[in-house]
Amino acid sequence: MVKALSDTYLTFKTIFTGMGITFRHLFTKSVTVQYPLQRDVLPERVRLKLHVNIDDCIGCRLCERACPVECIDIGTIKSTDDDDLGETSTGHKKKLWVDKFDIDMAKCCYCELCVHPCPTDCITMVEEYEYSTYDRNDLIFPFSDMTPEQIEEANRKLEEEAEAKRRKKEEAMLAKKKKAEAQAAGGEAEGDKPKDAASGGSAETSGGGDKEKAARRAEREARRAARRAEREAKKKSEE
Amino acid sequence: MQQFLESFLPAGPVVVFVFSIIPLMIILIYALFAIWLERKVAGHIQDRLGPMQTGGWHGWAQTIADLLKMIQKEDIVPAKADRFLFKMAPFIAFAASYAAFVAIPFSSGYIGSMIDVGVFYIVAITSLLSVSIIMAGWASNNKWSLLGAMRTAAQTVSYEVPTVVTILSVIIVTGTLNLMEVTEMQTGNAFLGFLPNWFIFHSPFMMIAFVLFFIASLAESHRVPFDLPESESELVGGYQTEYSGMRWGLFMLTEYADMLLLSLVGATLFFGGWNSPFGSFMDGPVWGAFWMLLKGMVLVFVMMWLRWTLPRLRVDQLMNLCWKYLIPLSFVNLVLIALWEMIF
Repeated sequence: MVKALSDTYLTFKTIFTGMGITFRHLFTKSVTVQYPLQRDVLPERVRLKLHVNIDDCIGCRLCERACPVECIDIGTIKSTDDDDLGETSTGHKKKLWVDKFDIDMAKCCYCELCVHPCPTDCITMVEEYEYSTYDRNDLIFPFSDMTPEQIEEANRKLEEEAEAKRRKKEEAMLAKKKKAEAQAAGGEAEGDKPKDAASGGSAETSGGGDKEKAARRAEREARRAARRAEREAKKKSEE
Repeated sequence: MQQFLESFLPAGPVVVFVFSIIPLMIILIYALFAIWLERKVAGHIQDRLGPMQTGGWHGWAQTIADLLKMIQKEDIVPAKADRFLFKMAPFIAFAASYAAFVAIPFSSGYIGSMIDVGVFYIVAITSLLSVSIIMAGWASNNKWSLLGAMRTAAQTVSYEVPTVVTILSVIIVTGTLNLMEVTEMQTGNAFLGFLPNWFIFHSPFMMIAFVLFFIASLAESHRVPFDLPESESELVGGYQTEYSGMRWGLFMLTEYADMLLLSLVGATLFFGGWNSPFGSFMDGPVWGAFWMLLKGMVLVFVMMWLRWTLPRLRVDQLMNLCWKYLIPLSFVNLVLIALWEMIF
């Protein structure tokens, strides 16, 4: 009997304590953020989406190399001597057309490793997080502002220049040969020589650079293909 | 009320129809409001907001949107279910709870039927509810549904005893089963000079009777902490499991109508029904309906408040509470109230 009474008392006491707590909470401010209408203030240095200020990009590919998941794909075209691409806002001279700057946000691991190497601070993380799509190919964000015509134009000009330089070089070589023959014959004509050498040299480096680039690209492609093959083989062996 | 309706409607079946449909309108509008309120109370108690978008102001139209959605839904009957009983059960459930409203005096001018067995009729007709729930559970051919239905049977049968005994203790004081007469006996503000003549202030034992009645009515309407028949978290909705669309909606409506019914019975028996708490101030048939529904809604709110405070009881705890505490207490209380009546 005493136990029953004390149990009853305890029951009501605890029920009223609980009701007191819930009643207090009935009037406390709710913690809900009504998302599309209200948004939380984002913390500083959030990593949500990559953005490239393409006007400042010098096409140095440091970000592409820094990326651990290879989500950045950059293509550059060397500018010709008569083109002036201007300077970046940080005062770097731009020498390359950036005809391709694709960032695949579906691959991106948000490590921000690409942001720090950039010499012109043109690749940054921005506070944008509502970019989900129905197709993952839509998550590849192209940042290059060049039109296909412009790219074609740049390629054409580069080829023409290379052609012109090669012809010039050949002419220079021929002249040199002739001069050497002439020298061998005894005649001396030292005046034009350094100029020819300089122009010849620049053509060579440009040509070399282009070739080197192609070689590098081929090498990278080969490496990628090898890696892919390796992965597939591994998968197969696992299966 | 009937005369008032006859003044502008053709007499005969139309008046009877309009007269009898008034409680249905009250139930439907109340259910729309109460479901919204339940979600708001739940939200705010848990420091959330509840529905906020539908309809503009604090999501007031959320229940209407849900209702429209429910009407459009497919009416699924399980292949192995007993089609007839399965389809029938929600209608019987709602009919039982709607039929009970006939004996409730909504105001001094409106009561469905002035039957002299009022409270007894309410207690009897609401028993039909457990029949319909067993029907639903068994016809579903689903073990969880059947478990829920069997729990309901056990619970309703047990808790009807304290409910009836506490009602009986009020009947000892009133001497009548007609709820209109019970309400009329509580008119006036004579008690201690200012308190209304409500039975809750009649004697200390009346307060105990009300507490017992309220606990038992929680169990009768299957509300938390006694919602074992439904217990979403363990029986996936109990007898409602196999129901979809508007048939499920009818069970929901029944649950809320039942809450209102028991709250109104509680308000009539203990809180003066349609009587104004300020004597003759704000009194009259229309104010009477207002006070009656306000008192009912306050009790409904307390039920919601309790729902978001207390955890669910176990089956054995439920039976313990009923047979070891509520029933002995209510019988002792009945005797004490009878003695109080004899002495004073």
